[in-house]
Amino acid sequence: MKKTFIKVAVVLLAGQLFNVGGFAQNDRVAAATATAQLMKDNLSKYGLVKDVELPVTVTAGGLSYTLEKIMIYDTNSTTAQALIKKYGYTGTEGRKYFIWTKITVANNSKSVVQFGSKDLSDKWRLHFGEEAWTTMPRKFAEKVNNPEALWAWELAPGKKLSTYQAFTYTDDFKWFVIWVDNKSASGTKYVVKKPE
Amino acid sequence: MKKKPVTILMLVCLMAIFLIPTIAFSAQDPSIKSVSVNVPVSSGLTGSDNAAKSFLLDLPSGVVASTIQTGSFKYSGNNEIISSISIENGKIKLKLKGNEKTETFQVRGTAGDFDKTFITVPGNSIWRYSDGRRWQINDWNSDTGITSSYNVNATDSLTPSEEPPKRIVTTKSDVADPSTAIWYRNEANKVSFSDIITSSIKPFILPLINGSGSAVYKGNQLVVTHTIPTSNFAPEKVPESFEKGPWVLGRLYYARVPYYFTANAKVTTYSYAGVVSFDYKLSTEPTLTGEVQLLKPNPNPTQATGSDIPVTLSLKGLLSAYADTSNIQEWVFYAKESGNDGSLLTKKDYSKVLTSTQTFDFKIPKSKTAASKFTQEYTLSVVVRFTKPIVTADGTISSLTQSFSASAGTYTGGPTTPPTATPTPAPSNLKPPVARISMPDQVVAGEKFIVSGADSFDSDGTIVKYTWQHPNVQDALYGKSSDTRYGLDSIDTTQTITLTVTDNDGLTATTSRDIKVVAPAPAAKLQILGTLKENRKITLHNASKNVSDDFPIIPGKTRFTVSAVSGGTNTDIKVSGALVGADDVDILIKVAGQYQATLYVENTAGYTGMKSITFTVEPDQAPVPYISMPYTVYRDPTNGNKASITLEDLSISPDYDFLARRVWEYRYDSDNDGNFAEETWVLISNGNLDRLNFYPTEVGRYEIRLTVKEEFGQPTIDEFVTVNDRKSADTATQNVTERIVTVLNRPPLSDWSW
Repeated sequence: MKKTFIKVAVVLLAGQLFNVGGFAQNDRVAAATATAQLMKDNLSKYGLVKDVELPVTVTAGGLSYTLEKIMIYDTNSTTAQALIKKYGYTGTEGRKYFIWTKITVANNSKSVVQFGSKDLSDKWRLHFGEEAWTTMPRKFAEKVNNPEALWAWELAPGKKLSTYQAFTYTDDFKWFVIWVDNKSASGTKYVVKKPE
Repeated sequence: MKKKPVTILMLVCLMAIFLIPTIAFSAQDPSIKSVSVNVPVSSGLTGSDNAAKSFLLDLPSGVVASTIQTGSFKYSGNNEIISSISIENGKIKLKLKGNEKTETFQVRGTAGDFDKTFITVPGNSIWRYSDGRRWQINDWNSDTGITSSYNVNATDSLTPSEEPPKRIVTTKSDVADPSTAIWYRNEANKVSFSDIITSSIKPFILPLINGSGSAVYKGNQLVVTHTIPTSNFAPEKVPESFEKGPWVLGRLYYARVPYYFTANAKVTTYSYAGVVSFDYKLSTEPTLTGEVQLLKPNPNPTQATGSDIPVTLSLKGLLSAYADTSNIQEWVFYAKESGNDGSLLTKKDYSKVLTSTQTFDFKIPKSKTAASKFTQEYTLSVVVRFTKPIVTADGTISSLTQSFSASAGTYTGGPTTPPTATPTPAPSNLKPPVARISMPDQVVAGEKFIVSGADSFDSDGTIVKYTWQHPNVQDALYGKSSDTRYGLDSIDTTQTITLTVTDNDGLTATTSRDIKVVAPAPAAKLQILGTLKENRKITLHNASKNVSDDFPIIPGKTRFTVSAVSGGTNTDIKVSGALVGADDVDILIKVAGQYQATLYVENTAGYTGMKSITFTVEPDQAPVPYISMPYTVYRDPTNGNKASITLEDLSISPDYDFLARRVWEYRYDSDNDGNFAEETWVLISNGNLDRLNFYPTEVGRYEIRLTVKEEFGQPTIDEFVTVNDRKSADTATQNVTERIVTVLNRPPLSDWSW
């Protein structure tokens, strides 16, 4: 009985974040998300006071990146470990924070935009004073355009993808900027401005 | 990065001080004032567009362009004037050449924001064979520049194998084009790529992201050595030439290498500062005069008719000693029956003219004309208002007012007051003349004034005779106009002057005007001239007016007194010469504060006047030293291995004195402990240079100190001041990082270029 209760609690935590994510798989979770669906981030818990509200969209060269939600967890937290285990995220050892994002990416350009062996350059980067590192969901590493845990992706012109992506981070959270780079074009949006 | 806000704050303060114009009195002519307008301080400007700048400076409040003596324009400062100073659209225009300063400093080139590194992502292809147990490792050799492959057996227990065995592999990547980088001196200051010394550009490689290994810069490429399997890989399609089979698998194991560029930049910056001073002529004090004419009844007094008697008054205002009609906002005229505010009439004239006349109509009700003699007094005023206050030696004037009085009278029965001449009955086809008198309503005893009948007229002929009745005047009136005066015995009386005019048909008309005679007390007027600041010459000027011609002011009895009110004491007041018997007395105040000056005058009739003015003497403010110099310089092997540091003085005097002495010194951190306190100051120059080059020979840190000393920017009285009264200050209050320069040896230049 006790074990069952703990398992549900973990599911609830993850489900409170993203009601369409890989964790929202049963009715009980769906009911829980209905009461907390407005929560889009927990940045303030880490001292980050938003200057703009989510969702935030940044575009560059026809690529549109929308950060819908973002949650920061201590890597050793139950929630983070549950996600790491579920998707097999690599390289989280020794990293202090695990960052879970819900994003929508749209290719409004006239050519394919991708992340993979043909083009490994970062199309978007999250920076909190130091760079957040993308981490690979080992269990979906060979998949393209995975809607639960993004790794390799490829968007033809006019295509759009809503999914989840994880990052790791170790330093202090000082500010929060999103950089989007595509085809020599760049876009920048400060969600939390840099202190003067 | 931290010192920038301090620098900006300092500059803002300096600019704020500089933007306040000041006005000082000329030593020579009290009607000429000197004024200074400051060129906004700017430094660190880059780009050829800033090599020279035109400035349009606002005139100080109260100064009109037309009053500026353009020949007096003078620029004081470090910059060179390119064209002469002129007035353009009501502003001072000048063009200056920027003071050049070339600095060499280290810069960072990033992918955009200051913190945005470049990231390159080179990788190694690792492919699994169809047997599921062997892996092909593709490795790049940095010596040969060739990628070779070799096979290894899986070491995990799974079939197909999930991960290749650990191997150290090498890969490579090109770096970004430095011209696409954004170059920063620090976070707040960008630098153009054209200012970058391209031979000094190098990538600065940061630790690898998500991987174990390292990267070095070699042969224009980043050479990365890392251990696979890395934590991240991208699925890769194997080439057609590779094996086929369900267990064939391709992966690209990669490293993410963050880096930015470093380089040296050589930038020419430009700075501007200075003061434009000039003289302008004060407006003469405008005077408002005027007159009232009684147009009806005529004659005055007039015989009661049993009906209301119409009264028409003409009020004229005349502005003298003033020419700027565009500054006249409006004329306002008031008229009322004396003591009856309910009868007030107001008229306005918005014409921009120096004289304006309005008429007012009243009635003497028939009920009041029943008395044997009735006089109605009227009070009138004319006001002229100015759009912008006029600055005069006495202060600013925003409006002028002059008041008048007039009266109209009636009588019943035979004429009582004057007229002695009975108006000649007019034939039915002839028109009688109209008599009018122009004269003041009030004079002081002994004051000459003109009485004129020149406004009288005859509509069908000419006036041939003017007959005056004037009891008690000192000089008999005659003809059309003449002057006269009343004696002391007429003081506090109202006198009546009557005019009877006769036209060429023998017809006559008579009118009269009343005039009040008052005591001839002199109007004491005291002016405080000069600069109201510590240790400056201040002149007490007797500008009294004594309108009584017969009773002039006795010079020997003119007397000034000065006393301290607050701030200072009477011993702080120094007087040059005697306070009695002079119209101008020079004084000097040693301590800022409030003081009171009083003027006493007396005329030959024994009447006196007195005027006191409390004035504030401002403190003499110390100069604000501020120096500009590079933070880092390099020794020059071609110049005796000496460094060259351009030191530039941007000091100001907040109250516009002259910086008469500049002493430049340095001290060298000889033990390189970051502490200058135990070091000795060494003189660089005491030649009052505002810009000079300093050539240190040793590598290390030098602290620069500038001490500036003022000379009075305004006249003083030498006998009351000493050298210690001149204010001085040094750069001890300037941000310490801005007055320390580090001398380095120039690093060897790379032979590699982009």
